[in-house]
Amino acid sequence: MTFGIFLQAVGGGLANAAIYALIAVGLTLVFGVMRIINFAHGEFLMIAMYGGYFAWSLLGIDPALAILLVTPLLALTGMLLYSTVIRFALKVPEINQMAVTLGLSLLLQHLALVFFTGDNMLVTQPRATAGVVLGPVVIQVTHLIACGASLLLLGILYLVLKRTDFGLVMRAVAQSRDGAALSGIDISAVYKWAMAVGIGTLGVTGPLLVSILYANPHVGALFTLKAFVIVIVGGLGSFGGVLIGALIVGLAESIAGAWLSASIAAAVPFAILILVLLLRPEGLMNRSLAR
Amino acid sequence: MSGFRTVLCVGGLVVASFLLALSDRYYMDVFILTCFYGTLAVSWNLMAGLTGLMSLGHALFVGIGAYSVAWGASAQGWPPLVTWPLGVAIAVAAAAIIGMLCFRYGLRGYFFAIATLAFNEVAFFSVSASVALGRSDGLILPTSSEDSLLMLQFFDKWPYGLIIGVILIATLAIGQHLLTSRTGYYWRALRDNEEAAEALGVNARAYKLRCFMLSAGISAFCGAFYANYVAFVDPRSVLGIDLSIQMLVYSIIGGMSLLWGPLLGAVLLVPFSVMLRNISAIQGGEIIAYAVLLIVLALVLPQGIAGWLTARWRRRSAVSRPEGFAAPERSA
Amino acid sequence: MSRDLNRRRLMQLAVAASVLPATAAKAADPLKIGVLVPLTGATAADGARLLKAHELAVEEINEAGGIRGLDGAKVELLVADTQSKPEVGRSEAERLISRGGATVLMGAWTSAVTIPSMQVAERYRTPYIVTSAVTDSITEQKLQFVFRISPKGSWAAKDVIDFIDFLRKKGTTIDKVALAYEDGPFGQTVSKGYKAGLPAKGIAIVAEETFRTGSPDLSTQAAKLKASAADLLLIVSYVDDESVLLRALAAQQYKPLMLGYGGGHVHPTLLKLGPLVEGAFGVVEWMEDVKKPASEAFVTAYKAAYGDAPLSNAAQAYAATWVAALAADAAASRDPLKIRDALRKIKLSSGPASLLPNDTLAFDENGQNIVGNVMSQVIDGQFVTVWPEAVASKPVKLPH
Repeated sequence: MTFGIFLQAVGGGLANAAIYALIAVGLTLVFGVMRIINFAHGEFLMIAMYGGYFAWSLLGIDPALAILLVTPLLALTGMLLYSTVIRFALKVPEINQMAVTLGLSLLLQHLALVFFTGDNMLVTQPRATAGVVLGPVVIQVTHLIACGASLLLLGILYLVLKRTDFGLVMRAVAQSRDGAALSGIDISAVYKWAMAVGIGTLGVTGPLLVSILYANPHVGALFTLKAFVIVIVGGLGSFGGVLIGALIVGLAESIAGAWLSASIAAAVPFAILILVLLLRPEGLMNRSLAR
Repeated sequence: MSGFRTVLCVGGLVVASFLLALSDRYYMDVFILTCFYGTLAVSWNLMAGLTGLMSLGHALFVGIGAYSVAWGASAQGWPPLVTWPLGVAIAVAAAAIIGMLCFRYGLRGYFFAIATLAFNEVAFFSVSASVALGRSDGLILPTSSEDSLLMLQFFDKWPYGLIIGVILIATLAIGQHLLTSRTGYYWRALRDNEEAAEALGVNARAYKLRCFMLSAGISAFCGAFYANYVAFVDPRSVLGIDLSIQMLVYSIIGGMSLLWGPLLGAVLLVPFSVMLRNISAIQGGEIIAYAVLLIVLALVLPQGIAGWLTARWRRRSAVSRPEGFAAPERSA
Repeated sequence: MSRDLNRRRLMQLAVAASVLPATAAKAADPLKIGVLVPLTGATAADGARLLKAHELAVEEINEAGGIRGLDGAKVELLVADTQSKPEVGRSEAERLISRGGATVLMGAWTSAVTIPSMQVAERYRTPYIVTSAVTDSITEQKLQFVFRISPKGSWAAKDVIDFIDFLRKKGTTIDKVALAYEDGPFGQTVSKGYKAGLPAKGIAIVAEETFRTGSPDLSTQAAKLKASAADLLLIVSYVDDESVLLRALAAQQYKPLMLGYGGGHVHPTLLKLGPLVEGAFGVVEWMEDVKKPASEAFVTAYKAAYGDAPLSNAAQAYAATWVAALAADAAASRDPLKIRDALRKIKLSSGPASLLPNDTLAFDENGQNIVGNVMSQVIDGQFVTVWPEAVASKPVKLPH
């Protein structure tokens, strides 16, 4: 592996890291506030991707602009999900919660199969083949846009969480549900908003990703697993953890892919996960949880 | 002991089903699949529902059993008498190593579950890359047109049904024996409150390890059976995460607080999915129905069907609900 | 097999049927052919296409008067959904034979699902025609009831190497080749053939890049491929990854001669990439513009029935269905053993089943049909068959 290729791998890995981070942040937010891991997270990404595709094919809107349409739709879906399913799921043991979200994942995949068929839906745009040259590194324009948008949104989310009352309320509930309730905070409203934001962020990534990849019913499953690894490595519930985790996973995956065969490279993020779990299970950013 | 009588009843039902299934090859096929998934789910639940250790990567042990047999048969010509114990031994050793690593570092709850998932995925990708194990193409077990008891090859289905039926009953018997012994008592104590149990002198690590190794061994047995029954293994079918999820699903629907709960889950869902497969008009219609059923049951019957039935039957609540991994500030 | 004869026969039968119901019922018992296809799961899209082809063949057979050797018995298709899973494929094969009464089975798209289901058929001593799976070992197991229409995966390499020779003779320089393949059953099987055959012809493999199917980012692989400065890039992947890879290569401003494996993936979706794929080659078992009368008839019929154009997997499924019916006809029996014996002897160089690019459809002592692949090239945004010249519809378009 020459140095030029190494830089290319690093560049590609960084761009991917931003995209993965945006996907994972919704998962960690929902866990942080509601203590539930949503196994169907990737399926909502899949829905957002179809949203971006149809905006382009039926309405002629550029997927990057379709974000403005798809994001509110996904946020609403998140709220709907809370009111119809998650609200009840919070009352059952955690293993049952897993079954509920797993069932949801299966359901959404097969509903998509029935409505959209299994064929891959491709978005073709002139800029899909253009690349930006930075020395020995070439980054595709679509990746760059996705990366930039992800960073922008992550920044906005960070500001919202740290600087607004809305964010304060969410952090309060994340820290202590009962304490927040005692302070007069409407917990179920916060939960609803947490889901709206958690799923809504996928509404940004989806249309961006569909320009890079394609839409099909099973495309979300791969990202759910990646998001898992990122969120655990960085620390469940931690925003900064998502950034660190995404950075590690994105870079490790890309560099390993340049060096080893693809199957071995695919095992690398899981090997990292095992290491983190054995050495620091609360994640790299969380304070040691009292056990 | 009433628990023992229940297991005896269940065993009797298994035998009765076997005898009924003798009449039709297709029913025998359904019986075999149900017993296979049932045994897997019961062995998985020994860890999850009865000791509080949830594993999302249990397919790893099924895969070890299946691949040991497949490789032994296709590359070396070894008979099941050699490959089955080999597969079980490797699986138990793997569980010992993984268990020692995880428990030494105090992994519990979600974290233990995801660690097991990670080990499973690493194995999946490693086998996909390994030429000796057939990579992604998998391994075909050599079959002859003659029946062979030594190589466990039969034209009829009932010998296979007999074998898996015996494995299932043996698993239930072992499970019941252990549960009513001191080991089972300690397991339940660890499930309900590990710190308290340790404070009372229970060696948490040793007992958790024992449970893990037993569960892995039984799963490997099932994997070995699968290899000889289907005569083909590939990473997707024996090392895939789908298999681990199925064990979880049957246990939840059937009921995790009872030994035979997961078997009930398998009995309800396996024939159901096979039946629906043939009458559903929409492609994938039966999977949609299955998913909806899963969601509804998981929400409405958290103790599973077996738990609900038992509660009604005995007019007292079933053995304490699995507390699982509730974070400190969550109210039960 | 003249249509008039069949019609007359059918009339005779109808008259006889009204007089002797018992005898007529026996003669009219359909020939049950079991078909295993993935209608749900990861490969559902291909399964739907396969089924359409099977159904078209059955419709044609029945409209032409059914199977003459069985007194005009109609073919009845028993369809089973394998859900793209091996264990489901296996139990569905069981069900089709033991409960459905199928006398011939065919299917099942991927090798992973085909292998267990064909082993079931072997145990039941029922003929099984493999329509599409390419794993070499399927016809290397000395099985007595398994036949394969599709070529072995490693033969693709042989055809590609012959095609490279052809291009070189036409003046193109091809001394360095780069491989890019998906690290799964498909890519591993085919690339093994390339790695074995290319060095023997004095062609150096200067790069070998792998990726997992479904990866969103192939930019590093593209960079390494560009750095290799190969004359020809051999791609083995599904159409999904193809689009991602081609875009990454374009961003790198690297446009070598390209040959991507086709199969059921010489797909209209690829053409949407426009200038990216212009001039690219594909190796595939069959193309809709293959110059053979049976092939042209099939394409016309398929388009008339379904509106879109058939892919290679459809042609294979169609051929398999016809082969089964013709074997039953030759055997004049519904006995699986006799049908198996007829399959062993069958030789078809004309008729609907001869649409594949070989001269004669026949099964060797291992049940394998000796058939090659054709090369397709994207010319002016269309897939065109360019090699072998005997079945090409247009000459190959060489760069500069």
